[in-house]
Amino acid sequence: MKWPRLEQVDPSTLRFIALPPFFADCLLRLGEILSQRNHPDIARRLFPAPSDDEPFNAEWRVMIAPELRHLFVEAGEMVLGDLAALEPEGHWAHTFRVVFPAAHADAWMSALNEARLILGEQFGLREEDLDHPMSKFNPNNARHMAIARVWALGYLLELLVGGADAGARPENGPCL
Amino acid sequence: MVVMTMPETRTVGRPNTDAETAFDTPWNVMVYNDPINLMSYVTMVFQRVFGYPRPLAEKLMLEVHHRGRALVWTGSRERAEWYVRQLQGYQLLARMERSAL
Repeated sequence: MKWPRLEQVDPSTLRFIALPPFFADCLLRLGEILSQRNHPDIARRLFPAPSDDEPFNAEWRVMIAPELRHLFVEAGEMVLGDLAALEPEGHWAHTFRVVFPAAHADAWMSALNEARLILGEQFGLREEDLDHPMSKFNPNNARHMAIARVWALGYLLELLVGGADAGARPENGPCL
Repeated sequence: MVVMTMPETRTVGRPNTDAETAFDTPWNVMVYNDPINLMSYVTMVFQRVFGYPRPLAEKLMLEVHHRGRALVWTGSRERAEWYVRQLQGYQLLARMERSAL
């Protein structure tokens, strides 16, 4: 089996190649997954209280959390736009590829990480669940599928982090 | 990410402090363990946000992983607030607390 890879097409363009159908399916579900970000349980994870001081936390919820939410929404929308270019690698191919601007790499990291966190909260995943993601795997079990998706999205995120380490990312600073 | 402008400096109201020395008391930025975040991702975030060299970023990441949390920065309240906002922007579980010192 070929494993997905991240390639730098040119200084301003990246692409994921050799994406198996399951990985492509995970990417196509990103919009559905990210739409869960406002669920109260999930929002508590994505927008955690910054301190033990409740008045301070209340101000944070009003002033900072909306900025963070906007940041995550914008990143997700950017990635969903890029995913319009997801396509099979040839007429008979069973793998997919997607080309996207290198300037969107941080948005991809944000969206992939957020989707993993959302699935983790939805299904109450623990570290031990992710240590053996494929043991006793049952595709009819929603929790097992969530673990597999967290794993696949993490694989792609790891490629992006590696790319960032190698300098294959734009010269962007922190995300705010 | 997305729009990569430097953040405007917006200060949320000061956490309640009743001591004169509150202004001098350092604040700790803590990062808590999360079962989902990748170790490599957390290391990258520490490098990006604080500019820590990779060995230090990895050490702090491992402390978060093994001990459940790590003190990643200590200093002024305003700066601590800024760092917490940055870390939460990368979706890490970050909080600030007054140093016991």
